[in-house]
Amino acid sequence: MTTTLDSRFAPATNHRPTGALARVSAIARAESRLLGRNKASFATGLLMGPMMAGMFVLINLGNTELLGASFAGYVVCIVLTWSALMTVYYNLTSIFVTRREDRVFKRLSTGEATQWEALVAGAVPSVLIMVAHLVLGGAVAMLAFGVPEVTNLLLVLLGVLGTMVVCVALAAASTAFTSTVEAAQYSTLPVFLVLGMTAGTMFPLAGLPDAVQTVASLTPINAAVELVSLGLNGTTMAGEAAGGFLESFGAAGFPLLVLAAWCAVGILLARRYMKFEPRR
Amino acid sequence: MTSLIEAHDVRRTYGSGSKTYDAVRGVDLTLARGELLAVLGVNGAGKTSLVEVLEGMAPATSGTIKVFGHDPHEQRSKVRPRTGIMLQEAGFSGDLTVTETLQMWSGTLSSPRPIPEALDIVNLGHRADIRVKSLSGGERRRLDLAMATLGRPELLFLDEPTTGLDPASREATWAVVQGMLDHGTSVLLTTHYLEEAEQLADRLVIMAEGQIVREGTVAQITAEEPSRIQFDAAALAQLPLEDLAGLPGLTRVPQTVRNDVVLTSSDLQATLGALLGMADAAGARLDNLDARSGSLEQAFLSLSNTPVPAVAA
Repeated sequence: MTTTLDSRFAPATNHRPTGALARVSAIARAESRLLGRNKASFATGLLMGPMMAGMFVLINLGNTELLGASFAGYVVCIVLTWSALMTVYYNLTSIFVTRREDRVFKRLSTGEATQWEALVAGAVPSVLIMVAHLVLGGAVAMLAFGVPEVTNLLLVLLGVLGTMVVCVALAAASTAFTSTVEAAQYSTLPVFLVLGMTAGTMFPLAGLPDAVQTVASLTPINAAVELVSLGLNGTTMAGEAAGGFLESFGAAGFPLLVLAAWCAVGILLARRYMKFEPRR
Repeated sequence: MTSLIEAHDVRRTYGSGSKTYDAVRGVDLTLARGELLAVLGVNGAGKTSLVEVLEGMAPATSGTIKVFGHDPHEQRSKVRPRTGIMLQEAGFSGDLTVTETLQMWSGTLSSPRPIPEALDIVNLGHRADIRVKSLSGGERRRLDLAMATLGRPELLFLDEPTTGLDPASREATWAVVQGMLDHGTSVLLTTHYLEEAEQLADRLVIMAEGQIVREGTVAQITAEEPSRIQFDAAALAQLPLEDLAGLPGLTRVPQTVRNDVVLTSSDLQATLGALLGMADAAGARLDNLDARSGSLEQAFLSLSNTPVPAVAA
């Protein structure tokens, strides 16, 4: 008598290796569903950034140094600051801690995706919301105040991209001193406050002592905001004109360097301190 | 190459400086194609630490490990497409449904089976649209098994796969694993259920204090354990212990344990036959008579409690 084996249990013989992009995409789609189903994270990520940005726009409406379309560029800088801090940095710290404590990162690492691919995938929805904030916020600001004469779109893109990388990396590193999701509310405060207050979008830094301005210029969101301002308005945040497209690169040299350095530092800190499973 | 796993002098040490702990101390292990190897040991014996380095989830401190001829940690991309891993504690996002969880997992695999087939194999088709947080513990373990086998692996690591399952679910799990074994998939299993290891394993290793203290087939391991005969001590009225001490094959002096007489023997048939003849002749009744060969449980308990000699570094 012959027994027919159930072919469902046969192992695969031809493996078509998946690429990192496919793996990250698959996990990112699931993470998007999860973000939408978590009311707290969704509200924080989607609404808090624009709300805070709106408040600071209202506060700065009386700033007569930035008139008309230049103010639209300034609004984009404010949106960038608050979206980066609330939607990306704070929200992702909570999300990464949840995935760690629920052992989701560990589970994902038992397959073909690496833990870092799972982390990047976890960041994708929040980063996309940040992009949406910038596009929509910029569109509304330009409708209200006029379209600025875009000087160097590349600097804008580099500023936004660098901000994403820094905030995702700092969120990962911040999980090292964030034991629970609830703890993220206060563990993220130091980074949140320092980066927010030095950005130059909560209040103008021009009136502060030189030493403070120098220190602020060495922080990542300040550098990113400088790049966006140069790219959209053709001026620094302090209002100094940078000239045309090519000249703007000259003015952008220092903030580009600062932002690149923070990207490297952030990634190093994340690799050093990010833990993908709960402490035993 | 006939061995899927070849591990030689594997060590894993936690900590650094003066505060180190040797969880795995010089383990040699192989796993052949189509074989089920069970790794047994008490809590803290080093099973999980060993299995994690074999899986490639963590690097070994020293030693060599080859899975499909590659280092599972350093050459992960060559090993993982052919491997399935079921952890002791599953990590699920509770707000995804069963189907969504498998869709996500499928998107990360090289050769996934269709999701309806995966659900059917573990009998979760009727729970496809239920969120994971609403599943029972047993259903989560079945989802875990579905994920571990979704990629149609050639090598399967199962870490206590049936813990918390009811008997029917355990049988169903083993039917799945047996089906895969029949097709040549190799399985490395850690379990606390000795009867599972006895029934399913081709070979066993028993670990204690980070080392393998016994390995072989179930028959080989239990052959070294004495048989045991037990009956109600009321029979001592006609069969004194002094007379019982003369039975053939005994490995130790007859003992009374609570209300029973216990005999340990290296030749169960000879000792039992002589005992029955002696009882007949004395008109003694052997109530609650229980005679059994050396068991895996006996071997496990004796080996787990025996101090392991220190290994030279």
